[in-house]
Amino acid sequence: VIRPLLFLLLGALSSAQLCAAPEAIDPRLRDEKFLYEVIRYVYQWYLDDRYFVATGEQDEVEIWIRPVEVRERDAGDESRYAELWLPAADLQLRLKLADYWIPELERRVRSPGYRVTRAALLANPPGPREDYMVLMLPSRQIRAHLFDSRNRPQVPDPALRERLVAAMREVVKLTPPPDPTQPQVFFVSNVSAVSGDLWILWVNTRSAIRFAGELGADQPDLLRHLPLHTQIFDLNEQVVASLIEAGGRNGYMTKDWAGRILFQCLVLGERVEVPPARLGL
Amino acid sequence: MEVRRFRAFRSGLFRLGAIVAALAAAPAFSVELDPPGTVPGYLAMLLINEAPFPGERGWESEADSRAAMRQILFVLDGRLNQIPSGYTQLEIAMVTSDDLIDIITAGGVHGQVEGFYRDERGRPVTVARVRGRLDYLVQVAGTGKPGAFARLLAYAQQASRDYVGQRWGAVDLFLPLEAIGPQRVTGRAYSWMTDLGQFHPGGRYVRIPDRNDGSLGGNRFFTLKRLGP
Repeated sequence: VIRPLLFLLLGALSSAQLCAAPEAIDPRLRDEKFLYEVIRYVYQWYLDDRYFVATGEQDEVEIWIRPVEVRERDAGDESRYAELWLPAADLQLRLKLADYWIPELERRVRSPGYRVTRAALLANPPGPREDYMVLMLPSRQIRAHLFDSRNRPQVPDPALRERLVAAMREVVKLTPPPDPTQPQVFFVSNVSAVSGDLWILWVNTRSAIRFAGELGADQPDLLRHLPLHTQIFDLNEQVVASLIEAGGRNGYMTKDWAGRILFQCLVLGERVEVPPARLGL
Repeated sequence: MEVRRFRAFRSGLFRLGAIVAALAAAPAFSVELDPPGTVPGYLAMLLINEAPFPGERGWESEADSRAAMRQILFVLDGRLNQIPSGYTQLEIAMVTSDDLIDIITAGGVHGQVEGFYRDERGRPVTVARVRGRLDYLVQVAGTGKPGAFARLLAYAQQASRDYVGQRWGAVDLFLPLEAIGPQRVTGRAYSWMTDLGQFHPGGRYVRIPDRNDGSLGGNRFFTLKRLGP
């Protein structure tokens, strides 16, 4: 009885050691399953060769976590915010556990868990190390997890898929394709437990649609609040190798990011074809 | 088609503005958006479009969204009136002009401000998505007791009227910036982008970090490298 318990204890310690605890961190942020989901999300959208070169010889990978506060929080807003810093990837993540009431919509916004709301590649850590709780995760185990799960589909469930098809029809109505007599072909991206974003590749118009927002693209009232969720990127026009090329214009994405959208949608996602009769045009 | 939609949208806005005003039971609130064909109306539409409302990606608080609107207005003002030494307006704004609408619409539909452009007759218009979202926001703002939606719409409109009427007295958060890390900068922000982490530092634009409030309303703001002594 003792040996398995000892094994579990040692395993837990080695896989997530706390190096510093400047203040209480929400235990949900320290949950190993959650952290592995975050790392997988980061792998899908941000990591590249540099991370693996940097960590190739390391036994452990650091994750820095600290709670953060917003400016002048609204009355009654119970949302929680946190910042993660992944030194090996020079990546800062902002996470939010949304929990607030919208009186006009008579709707509570409550995310099922912390979700990544923004990310930034930085040359230096956003704060001194002692301001964070530093977790150590085994590098080899992370690499194995990422490799094994790299092509594991996480497709939307049937109900969400139906809502997305309805949402896509609305987008088509608002921005009609050049030839509406043709079937419209979409590819729906993988979903992630740590992101509210859903990407859809609209093949006919060579554009990418992002359904995002804290109301949750995965919630039953997606259609009702569609204008709050939808962004469209014209992949012909709005993609550059570097945003430096865009010269201050604010609607562009990089080829790297566009490539990840294409991979998430075309390779890992699901194909959906909507015949002209179902477009509602 | 675009023109017809624009007209329909404009008349719809008049109606919706009146509805919002009527439904705003509290006397302190009466949201009426100026027609988008006017400078204050078009500017307000831009501020509303670029700042998150409750439930949207990037939403944090009313104060945060108001600050985002303010700083976006300061970016436009910078491109219009505050060209730093060593730069030309053409380099920063893609246009040489003293007209605010030219600054907003420079570069066309995917230009300086995504989705805001001049149509073939030179009138300032937006893509359908912008109008659809605005219609939705106005509708929500008029539902029940006035709340954050109505207040943010009213804030954008009032800021726009004040700016155009040269009565705007807001404080630019980024004006005092002199250096970011080892890089000397011009102060003020000259660009903003959706905060998505694809921007590698480089070129003339310098990312304003969180410690300087560089992320507001889901947008990241950028200042410029200081040129010369």
